[in-house]
Amino acid sequence: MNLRTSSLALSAATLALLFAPSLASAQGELAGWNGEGDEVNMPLVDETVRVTIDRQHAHTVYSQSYQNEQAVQVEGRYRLLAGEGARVDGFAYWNGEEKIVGEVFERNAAQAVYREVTGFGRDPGLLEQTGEGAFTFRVFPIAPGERKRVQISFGQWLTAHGNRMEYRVPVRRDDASVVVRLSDDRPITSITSATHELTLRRTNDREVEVHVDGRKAGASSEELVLSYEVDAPDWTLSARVHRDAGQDPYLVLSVPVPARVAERSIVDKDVTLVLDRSGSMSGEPIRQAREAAIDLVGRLRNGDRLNIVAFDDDTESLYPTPRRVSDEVRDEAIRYIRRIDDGGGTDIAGALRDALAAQHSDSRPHVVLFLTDGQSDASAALTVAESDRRDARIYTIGVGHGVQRPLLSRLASHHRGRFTFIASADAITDQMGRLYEQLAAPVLVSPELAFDGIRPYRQYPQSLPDLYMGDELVIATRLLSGGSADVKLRGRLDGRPVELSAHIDVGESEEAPWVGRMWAAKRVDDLLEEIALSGTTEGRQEEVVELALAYAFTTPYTSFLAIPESEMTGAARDMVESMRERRRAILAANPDAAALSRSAMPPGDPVIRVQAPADAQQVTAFFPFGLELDLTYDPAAEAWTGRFLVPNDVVDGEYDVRVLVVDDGGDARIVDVPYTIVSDEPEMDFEVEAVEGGVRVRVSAEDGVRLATVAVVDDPTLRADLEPLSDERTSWETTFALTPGTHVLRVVAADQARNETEHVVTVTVQ
Amino acid sequence: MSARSTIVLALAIAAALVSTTTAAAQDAARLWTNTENVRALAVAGEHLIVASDGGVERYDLATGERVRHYTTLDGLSENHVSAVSVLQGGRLRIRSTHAVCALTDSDRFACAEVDRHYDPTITPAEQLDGRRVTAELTHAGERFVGTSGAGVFRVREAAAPERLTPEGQICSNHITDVVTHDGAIVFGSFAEGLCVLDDVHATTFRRLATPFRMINDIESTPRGLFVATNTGLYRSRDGVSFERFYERVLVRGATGLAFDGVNLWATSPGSLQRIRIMRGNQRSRGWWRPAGASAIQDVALATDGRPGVWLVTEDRGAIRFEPGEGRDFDTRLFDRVAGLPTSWAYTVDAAADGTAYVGTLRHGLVAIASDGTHHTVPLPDAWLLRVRRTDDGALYVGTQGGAFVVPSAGADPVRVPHVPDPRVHEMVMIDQTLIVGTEGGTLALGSG
Repeated sequence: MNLRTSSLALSAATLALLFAPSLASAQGELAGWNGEGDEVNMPLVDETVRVTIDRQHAHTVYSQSYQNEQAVQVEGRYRLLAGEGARVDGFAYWNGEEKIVGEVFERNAAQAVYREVTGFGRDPGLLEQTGEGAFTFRVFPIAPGERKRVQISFGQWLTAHGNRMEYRVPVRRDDASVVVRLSDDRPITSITSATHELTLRRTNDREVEVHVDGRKAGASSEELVLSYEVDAPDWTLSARVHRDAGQDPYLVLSVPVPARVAERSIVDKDVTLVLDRSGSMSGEPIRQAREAAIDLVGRLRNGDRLNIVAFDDDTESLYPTPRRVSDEVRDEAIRYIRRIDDGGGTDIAGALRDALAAQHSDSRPHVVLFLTDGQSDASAALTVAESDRRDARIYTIGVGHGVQRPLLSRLASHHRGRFTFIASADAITDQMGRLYEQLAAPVLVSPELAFDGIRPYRQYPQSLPDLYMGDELVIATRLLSGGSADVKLRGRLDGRPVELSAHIDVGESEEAPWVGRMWAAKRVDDLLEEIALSGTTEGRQEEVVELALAYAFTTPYTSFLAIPESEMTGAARDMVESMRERRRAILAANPDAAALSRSAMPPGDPVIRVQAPADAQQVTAFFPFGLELDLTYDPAAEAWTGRFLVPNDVVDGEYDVRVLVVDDGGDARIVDVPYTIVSDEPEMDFEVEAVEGGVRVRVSAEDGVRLATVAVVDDPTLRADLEPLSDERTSWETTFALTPGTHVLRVVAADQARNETEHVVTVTVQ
Repeated sequence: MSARSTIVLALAIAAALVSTTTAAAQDAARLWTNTENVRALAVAGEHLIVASDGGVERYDLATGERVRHYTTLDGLSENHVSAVSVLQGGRLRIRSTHAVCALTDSDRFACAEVDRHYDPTITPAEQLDGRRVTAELTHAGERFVGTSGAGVFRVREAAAPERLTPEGQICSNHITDVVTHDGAIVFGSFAEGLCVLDDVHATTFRRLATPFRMINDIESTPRGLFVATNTGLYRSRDGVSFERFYERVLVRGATGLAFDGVNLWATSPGSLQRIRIMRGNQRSRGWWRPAGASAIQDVALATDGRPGVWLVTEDRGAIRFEPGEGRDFDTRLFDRVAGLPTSWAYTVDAAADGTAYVGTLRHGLVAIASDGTHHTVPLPDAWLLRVRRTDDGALYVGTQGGAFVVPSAGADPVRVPHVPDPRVHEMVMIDQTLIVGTEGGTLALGSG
């Protein structure tokens, strides 16, 4: 599997800089539709939510049951709004007692199966992502009187505001069973909810189980809003590392801006507000945009300068260049804003070019706020952004799920700004106000990241934006090999240089598999941004698919397909089996995501990990050599784990561990976990070549090399490790210093399963 | 580890070898297994027969008491028994991984080797007492239920299930480490935590409630009992309750422990920690990836007159680690590029003469002398699991092919008899009793 292609383009789609929590409520519901195409009432009769929050990463398993009270069968259309950044990693529904579990497949193949099965009047479930944090699927038929249970699970990062985090999830029933397991490496000082009564069961000051007892008196919200605070010094750079055995580690770094920072002198700045007035903004969006713009004008200080640019196919500016704010300018601006009406198409490039070209040439900050809900010529807009060398910060704001997110993200990242997504037009005013409140006071400016002792690669975001009040900077990266290292975040705080640091010990870190998933999601975002902006290539698309299959999430190229075995046609079964085979192959080739701690091993003692709900009744692994192992849930690993030894009489080959998972409702499924027993000496190519002052040694192997070392046979204290030449680690090389004369060298190289092979050679150094 | 005279051991082995049926042998060899993982049930006459991972049990149907427990000491080829049936005439036949065995008139099993056969029926199981139901039968209106991990129960209507399996069993059939601490014997298991035997003659084990399950090493010190587990290092001051120790650096998993009288040396896969637990001049210190090792498996005190330890690793072979001032240190590597047969080493101990004995995964036992020369010690099996030195120069060697005693350097290895499973993870002499921990039961060989 090639998870290491060479795309290094800037990405702001992966910018994990988030603003205050979205005001849009989390929602999850199954709506019923009858054969006439009318929506019918289908009451929610049962609701269960299980949440694990580990150091700001929340994983939610959300289950609901709906009752069809109609006399006819209906179709259920499920819709989940989980919030920005949420990734669905599982879904299922029940046909009576049978649980139909969704599996991630390539989208084209999944749709082919879907068509094949629906063509026979049967109906599988196909879950797809319809927008940022928005997911849908269809369930049909729901028989009269039938109770239909659906379940969806998703992960998300909880943005810190100072030391406070907030988690939201739909909870519609008063008697819903909701349990949140909360853990952090910092003391958890308070847990509150504005919406629900809570019972807290503390294991210690860093682990709490929260039981939600029902809605608070007077609260009417259909979501749970849970807040918690941790005790940590201001400007703490937190590092979370995860490493799967034998693989490059993942690292997530985060630093929140303290909730209260010292008063600083506020510098005068230029603000250019660029508003989309195209036809798609008509109605509530343009009304909200006008309101937000008027609000912004009211917030500007007299020393600031202001301009307003309105655009559709054409661009129109209030002033040729930003003008100093006065009462007269404010009045003019407000009158201008009120006249802005919706019109034609959307020329982002033209508007951006005009806004940038109109900037003054001076040292004060220049801020361009660019709000749009539409789509435009991406390459033209990018050309404008890339060719402009001025120091204006561009902040793009996208409204609605149809927004051209990759373009807006990339435009912002080119100019140290950030992209803000606003899901619903009715939130424009609030979100824009919040955004401007932050931009009014930059806190940490021009941040840069430095690693000492370890090499990062595939870091997201690749260019770090300025940090403002209420911000949190979150960076995900992979690290080339393990080790300990100091990570430093440098920037300017209140005009003075500052340095924040964190120490990481890859080998000593607690497991946190979500760190790997988070990085993979950001990598996929980056690839999708590349595809959206530069076109699809086979390599990019292939990597998206492989990452999505390995880490189980939806993308434009992958979908969750849930299909009952009983409804499978012969052709569909063949296609599904073929897709499963491909996923097994990817998992086997990518131990980062595989369930076994070692997917290729000699007989030894790995630990098996199986992703299953924490409240599962039974998780039992059946090993082909006769071992039956009941696994135990490990909250730190977010998985059911068990330790096993492969007997040394098991011959080399590929095997499946069959794992039976019985969930809390008694539904069972069998998961095959592939692994490979390898004990043979690997085949590798050795090259040893005398060069000036020593020898150059190279080892190559198609399947990769784990470690390679060269030493002088007569004195093995004279030795050197070879270094990988690329991320693929198929070729390793070193130049080994030797005194002139003839030497006998031994080169030893190990494969991923730590099987070794050696090459002894005599060389003469001149 | 504690060690006693190999003379006592030799006597014990000799006694055991006299006959496998004599009273002397029965006195010399005892076997501790756990029968709480039930695989199958049958009724033979007035008895309930239970096949388990710890052998075959016979219970009196009337009283519910266990009246007989058959193990490898009674002729079974292994203690993991997966099926049981009653032949015509009431004779018992059982199936294990590699054999079919029948109970003979002498109340011992006779076994014939067969091919491994495993074709499980994978279906959701009922739960009883929080455990998976693995077998059940109804006899004379009474229901008997076997479970995975909680033993066998008699279930009567309108009454709480009655557990028949005796309490006080050893906590696991797979014991990885045994130490004495505060006069008691502590048994560490592969994946089922810790249990304690008050002395070598006791028959009832106490299972400790621990926040960990998977144990790699145990060390008894005056400052408490330290346990290296796959979730970190733990300490117990009272021998009962455990707390995390040295949390910040060993939270991912501790693999090996050694105590030099002042410092506890602890390893994780990627680091070596010297933790001062007694009064002394040295500060606690940690070294990350010594000599580039990323998979350290075990640690032992060096005995060559210089300070420091031996480390064994999966990727760098054996490492002689000598700390210097501050963070300085010296290392010398003994791996395949240095001429050893492999870089994958699993266990280590150092003899009084300074020789380090390094057990490799599948390339035998390597002796590394103080001057760095090395040779492979002849053994019947090359897959090493444990090497322990004794105070008088003998070596205990656990392999995947049995347990051996090498009485002195250069002497032929002596196979320890009655070992219940060939995969031997621990050998230790306590109160003139050799305790052998395997993957299929723990043998106590001595005066009984």
